[in-house]
Amino acid sequence: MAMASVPQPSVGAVVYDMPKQVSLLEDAWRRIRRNRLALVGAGIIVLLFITAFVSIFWTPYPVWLQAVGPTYQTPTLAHPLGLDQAGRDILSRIMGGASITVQVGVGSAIIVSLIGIPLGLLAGFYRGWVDTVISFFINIWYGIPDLLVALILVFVLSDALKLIPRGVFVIILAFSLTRWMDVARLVRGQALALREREFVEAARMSGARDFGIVARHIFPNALGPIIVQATFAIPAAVLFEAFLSFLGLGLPSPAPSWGAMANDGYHGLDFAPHIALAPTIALSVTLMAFNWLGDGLRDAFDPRMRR
Amino acid sequence: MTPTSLRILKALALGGVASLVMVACGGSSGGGGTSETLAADQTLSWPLVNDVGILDPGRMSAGVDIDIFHNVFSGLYKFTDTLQEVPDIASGPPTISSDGLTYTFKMRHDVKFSNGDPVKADDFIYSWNRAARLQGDYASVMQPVAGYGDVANGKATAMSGLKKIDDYTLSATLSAPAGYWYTEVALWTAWVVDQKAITAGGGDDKWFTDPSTLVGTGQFKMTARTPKQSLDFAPVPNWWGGSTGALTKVHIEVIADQKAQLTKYESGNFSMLGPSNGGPTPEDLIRYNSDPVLKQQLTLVPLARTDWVGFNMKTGPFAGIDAGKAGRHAFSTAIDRAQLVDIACSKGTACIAATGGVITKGLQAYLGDGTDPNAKFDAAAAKAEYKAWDPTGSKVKGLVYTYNTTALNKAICDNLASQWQQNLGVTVQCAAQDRQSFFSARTKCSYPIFRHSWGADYDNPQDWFDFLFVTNAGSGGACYSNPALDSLVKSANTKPLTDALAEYKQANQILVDQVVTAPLVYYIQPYIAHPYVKGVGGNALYDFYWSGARILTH
Amino acid sequence: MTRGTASYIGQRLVLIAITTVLVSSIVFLLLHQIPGNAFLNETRTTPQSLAASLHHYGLDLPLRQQYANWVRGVLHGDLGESLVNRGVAITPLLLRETSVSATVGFYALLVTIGLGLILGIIGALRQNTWVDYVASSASVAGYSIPSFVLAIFGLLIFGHYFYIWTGGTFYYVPGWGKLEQIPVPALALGLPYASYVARLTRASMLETIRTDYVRTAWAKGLKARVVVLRHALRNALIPVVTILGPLITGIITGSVVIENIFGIPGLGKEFITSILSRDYNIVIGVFTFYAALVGLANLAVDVIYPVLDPRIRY
Repeated sequence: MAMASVPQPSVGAVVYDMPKQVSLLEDAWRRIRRNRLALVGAGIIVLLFITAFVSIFWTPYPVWLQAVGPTYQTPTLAHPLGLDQAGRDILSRIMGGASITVQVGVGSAIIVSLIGIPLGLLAGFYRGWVDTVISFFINIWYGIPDLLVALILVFVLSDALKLIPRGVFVIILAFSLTRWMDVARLVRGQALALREREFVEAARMSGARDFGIVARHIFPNALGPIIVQATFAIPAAVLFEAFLSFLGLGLPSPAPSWGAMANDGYHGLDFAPHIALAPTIALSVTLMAFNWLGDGLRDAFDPRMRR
Repeated sequence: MTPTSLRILKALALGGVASLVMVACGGSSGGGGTSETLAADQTLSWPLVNDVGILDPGRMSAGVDIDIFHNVFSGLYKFTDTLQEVPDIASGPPTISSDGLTYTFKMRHDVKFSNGDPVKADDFIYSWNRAARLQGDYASVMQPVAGYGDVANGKATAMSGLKKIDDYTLSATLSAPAGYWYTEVALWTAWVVDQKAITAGGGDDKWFTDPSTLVGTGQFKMTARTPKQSLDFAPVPNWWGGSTGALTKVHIEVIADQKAQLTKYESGNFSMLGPSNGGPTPEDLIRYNSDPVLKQQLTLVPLARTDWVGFNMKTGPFAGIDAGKAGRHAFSTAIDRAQLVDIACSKGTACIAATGGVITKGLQAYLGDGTDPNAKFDAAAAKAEYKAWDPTGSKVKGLVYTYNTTALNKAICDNLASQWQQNLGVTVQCAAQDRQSFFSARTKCSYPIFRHSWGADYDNPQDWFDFLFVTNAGSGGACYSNPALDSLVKSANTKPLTDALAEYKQANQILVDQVVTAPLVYYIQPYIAHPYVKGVGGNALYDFYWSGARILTH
Repeated sequence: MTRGTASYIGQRLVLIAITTVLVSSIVFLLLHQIPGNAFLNETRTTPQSLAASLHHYGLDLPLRQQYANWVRGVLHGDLGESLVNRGVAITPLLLRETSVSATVGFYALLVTIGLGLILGIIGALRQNTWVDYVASSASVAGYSIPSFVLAIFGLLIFGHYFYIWTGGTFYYVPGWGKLEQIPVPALALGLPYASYVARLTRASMLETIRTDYVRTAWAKGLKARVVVLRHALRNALIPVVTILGPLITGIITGSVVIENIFGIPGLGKEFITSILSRDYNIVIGVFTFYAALVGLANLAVDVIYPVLDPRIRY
């Protein structure tokens, strides 16, 4: 009978079932592997990065070269995505746009974290007047359409004061200057909660200095939500850049930003829909992928979601 | 003009004939005859991209504003649809003294403002002094008049050169002979305004905000205005000049998106597109031009405006009339203008290649089709010439071409950059600037290479040379200085146009020989109108007067 | 309205006024640092012409005095005169445009909340079935696709293809003035945020539904189920109300693009137009309006909140 194959403990012995020790990241990884949408998202993102990387060295045609063929030409074998209103190859420009997307997205996520994490940690850990000052800034921004302030910032820095030329950097800067509050608020909340925990008490009693406590105990435990927040910052930044470029306030011509390409194609939507379709689909798919991944990561890191 | 010849003319215009063909058979001479049945609703409507800026003739400066308000205001002289200067309120051409300094104007006796106030010589003197005092953009129209300087500087309120001879005669004494002043006196700055209405309307800063005090001598008056949304006009009853045409209402809406404009037009809610520098998007223009049915609604009218590449003659890689000439020539001949026009001008419908110098085709002192050797495309020769001039590429390193932000300028710069990269191997970056800072910086000659454009204010080459190409020209941007050209222009300016033409042409030829500019395109204004809308459109400088328009039954 | 609530509202109004002036001051100072000026014409602006224009707008005064004049004006509701369109007063212009934007925004909010609630409820009731997955994927798609993309597709479908499919009878004209011009932009504006509402509603309903007493009531039959649903819905609305503030801010941001695409003469369109034409007076005016609007919207939300959740008291 099948039952005999199961090993039986010897009668009288007490057996404890010890759960296998697993680190936070391993646990998260295991959980995210089960989330199909998140995996699809991750796959798309990998594809995006590869395309972005390749486009730096090679695209089928130069992204700036006009009159490669007749203007507005629909997709053909030679030009799988067709030509735009200036006769430029759309496939090449989509590839170039991937590079811009990656730069803006990853750059913003990094800068936003670099500003928000230390400020959030400071506010949450030290409280007192430091917290008051930082929280004041966080709250004043809460009621403002931050995207519009960022838009004005880009305009003022590049066009009006001409401090920073139009380009990826000023967009990352403007975005980060208006969005670090989200990260800071999150990290502050985490720090406030974590500083009361026993292991922090223990560390303090054993003589650890503030910086060590923050760096070795608080920060790693807040890592999960931080990663999630950073992941969500990427599509927000990409959306901001597309929004700017669509309005004509983004990267200078002829940068193949997907938002700018959508702006090019939107006037000729009934005449040549393929011009606007390619960048809008690319944008939507990329943003969806990052959101799926972010959702998956959030579920993976959330201790309450044990299934 | 019969409807048949109208159709022929339209066909010619559609063929891209770049001559100043006058399309409307109405104009101010009346309708097309008894073969037309007028619709019950005689409302003419069209959209604007931007709301009008300044409604005060003393300060008015935008072409859009002028096109609209030359139906509301008028002056001593005006331009016909063929750009001839004819008397309007004046009873005939001025009597000019033998030394060319004193102009005597005689007026009609029956002219009234739209509120019934009679118009006398005093009103013109008041209006002209006011224009000089307000110092709007075009106050310089009064500059030749003696005493202008003091009024402009605020030291006086009246120009000493203006004198009232009697109730309907006035004279203007200039400080120096200026043959072109007769043309300038037909411009909007010299339109007559009603002092009583201005005072009643709250003074210089407020009178134009209320339709009831926005009083002029034109065929129409403004009846309503919602800022940034719409303007409405109606004919002046019992207009002093006779008939005001068939229209009973003119309705103009502000719609910033060209696609939305066209959609509204196609659903029958607008009579036309195109006046006030409007028009369809490039894609829609191509669509209309290539569809046989839609093409009949499209009329292409050459506009008196040229776009060119400006080079800084004082500093930067292209500086020096001789030192930079090879570079400028290489850059100019490396541009395939056929490709430029195909891509940036909706396959050649919104503009045509500039092959006859910087003054637009159809204007006085135009050099002729294909006469500009700098416009002949030769990639190989251009590259060789460039390489000889700048073998290491150090001269053009980091070159930035600056332009003010419009869709056309962007399309042109992108194409130029692509061609220079492809044909010369030179990387030129396109930088967009807002109008104001761009003009400000360009006037100070801050850019090594830049976009420049000039739309003639009136058909007289003085308008081009005095503001663009003489030493210290006010709108030059190139800091170009050539004493030979200066003296040619100075001499020509004193003479009436017919005598001065040869000298102006010589000056234009100098510009070509020295490759001062690389002319790119001459503009075309597309008008789209329903087949039942007649008598609309424009000429090279202005939209037609509304009095010639009529709506047929449909 | 108790005296406590009245004084709370009074305090908040003062706070809103202060924040409005503060925020728009930042924009004012930012824009006034910009060198150059708004008045140059391509053709013939002379130094005197420029000086006359600068003087008219008070731009030749020292910055401190300009700021003082401006603050005084704002507190009286006078936002000045347009730099580009002479003689046009800014406050009535923006008031008119705000009513337009508010109309579209209101319908967009209806779309957001209505669609979000529906998707969330369906997802909660049919949890973990294919319906749930479709609903939640639709949600993610909703907030991933940029609003201008939705607007472009909306225009394509309703403006172009509908016209062809109905043989020319149905013609959607983008613009403003007719009732039928509201749904498409409201949809494009509200859809992206519906997913946030859906997610919150679903989570909140799941929490409520899963409690034991609800499960018991559910088993009792149809009438009880209706009561349960009403109770669950009411609880689900509470978190939605908490995000109403950011929702409204998001709709304001989205309206900037939507109004431009559909040619709606609202605040968002004015914002972009004035930036592009360097009409700084209007840019500052629009920002002042935005700050006040968001402040007032948040106040309204905070006043509604205790109506929904009686545990809150001020």
